[in-house]
Amino acid sequence: MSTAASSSTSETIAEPGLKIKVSTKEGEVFELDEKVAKMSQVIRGILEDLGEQNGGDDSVLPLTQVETRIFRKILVWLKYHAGHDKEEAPKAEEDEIIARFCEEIPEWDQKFLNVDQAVILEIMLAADYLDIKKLRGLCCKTVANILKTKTVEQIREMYGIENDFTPEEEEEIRKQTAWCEDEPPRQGSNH
Amino acid sequence: MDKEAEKSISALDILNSLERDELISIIQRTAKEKAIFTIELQDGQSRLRRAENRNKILQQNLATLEDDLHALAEEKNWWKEKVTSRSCTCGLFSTTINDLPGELLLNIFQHVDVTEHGILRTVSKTWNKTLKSKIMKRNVFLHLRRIPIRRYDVEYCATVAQRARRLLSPFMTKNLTLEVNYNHPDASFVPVIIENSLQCTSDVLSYCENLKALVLIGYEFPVQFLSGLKEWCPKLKQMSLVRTIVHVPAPIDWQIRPPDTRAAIIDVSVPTEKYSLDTLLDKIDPYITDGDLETYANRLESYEWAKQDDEWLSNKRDTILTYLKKWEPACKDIKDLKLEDAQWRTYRNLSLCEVMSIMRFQV
Repeated sequence: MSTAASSSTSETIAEPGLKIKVSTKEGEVFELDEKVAKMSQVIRGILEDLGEQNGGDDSVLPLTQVETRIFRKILVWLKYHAGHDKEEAPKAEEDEIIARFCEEIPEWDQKFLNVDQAVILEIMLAADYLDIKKLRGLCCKTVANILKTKTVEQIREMYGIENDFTPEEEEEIRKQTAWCEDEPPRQGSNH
Repeated sequence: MDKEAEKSISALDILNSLERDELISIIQRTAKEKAIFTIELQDGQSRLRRAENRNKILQQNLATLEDDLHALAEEKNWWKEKVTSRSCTCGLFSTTINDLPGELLLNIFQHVDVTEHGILRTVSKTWNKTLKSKIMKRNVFLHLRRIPIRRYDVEYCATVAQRARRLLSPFMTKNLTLEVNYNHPDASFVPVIIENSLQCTSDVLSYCENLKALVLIGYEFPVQFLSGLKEWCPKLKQMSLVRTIVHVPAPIDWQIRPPDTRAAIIDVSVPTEKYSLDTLLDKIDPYITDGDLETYANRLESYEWAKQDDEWLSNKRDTILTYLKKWEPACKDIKDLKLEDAQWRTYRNLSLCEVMSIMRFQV
């Protein structure tokens, strides 16, 4: 990772403006810019419920499901994207879905997510909890990319998944998905 | 007396002057030195041999170590792959994909090409159930990889063609009711299928429960996609391909393909991997005899669309008939070939090749 991670109470963010305090599962408190904090729909929702009165006092939003180590990483992502993402007009659902699936993972995000898969999954869970759709989608896409090109056996081995199909069931599924097959049987001589 | 004689006398004088014992001593000393030199020589030779042996052993050890190093590098890569794909190197995190809630698993699967869903479904019962769920079929993205050019054997080609025909047959009926048009400017694959906009405008769905007709314009995709449509569009009865190339696995050498294989492939109205429709038609020319042409020309008179009184159609009629004559032997199972007037007018600016690809086949 190229960027240093977090801002805690001892690493107060320099930018002026409303600050939002959140605490992680371990109780560590982070102070975030409003813009950064509101990239989480959960935090945004809480702030709106509170009438955005939070910034002026010492109240801290508890993020009880997010570990500090993961939150630090997420904070890196949030701060980068808060500073680099352009304001986009709301997309139609069709466009949003097409964009979500067609667009490649940007280089910076690829580097950000170039970590162990367990960490990606933790980030994904945290992004899901915090309702940061873009980050969650990037994590999902990254894991999906790992799944691609893997064989059934490789996937089972990778995740320690037991084959709980009977041979008949497995054969049945193979028949159902035969249309997906890419590789032809090699038995002729015209190669 | 010459100088040589003087030297000999001088040596003799020296020898004569030596005592017998001294001579013996010199001889003994010389013999001893010789013996020492011999021993040293043998020792040197022995050491040389040992050094050579050692060198051989070292070479062998080096080779072994290089093998070990190679094996270790492979092992390292294996572990690296295991670590990066399964667990974390710092040991702090242990979450695996099995720990994810179903919703996130769904989200991951939705990013995987549908042609790979078959593999994922075979992983476990849970994954199979997840991938078969209706919510999974909604919003599944049809992102089709381009199949690289390969050489397929004839037998496989025939199998694929037969399967394609069988799977496509449900789409080919007379029930034409609704139609969806979607055109993607950069389409070298099918990025998405829009659900029938007349019935549901809010979603982009690949699971199109009520979709009955579909028009794809300007795409290029493998034939597996067409057969896969049956999964996502259970009520799809009709589809048209406009400026679309469907990749059907086929041998590079078309000359060796049996007529039935050719027929089946053209049945799905597609040129293959490498050939445009025109090229394909040229390729199948050798299979058409004069007798065939006469027979098919007679049968062509029965086609309704060919009798339409349309100026553009009239102008193109002869050319189209020529094309159809070429097609006909290959389309021997097609009972009716109809191009609706409305369609005809819509696509009148397309090339002849493109018009051919929007013909509706009714088996």
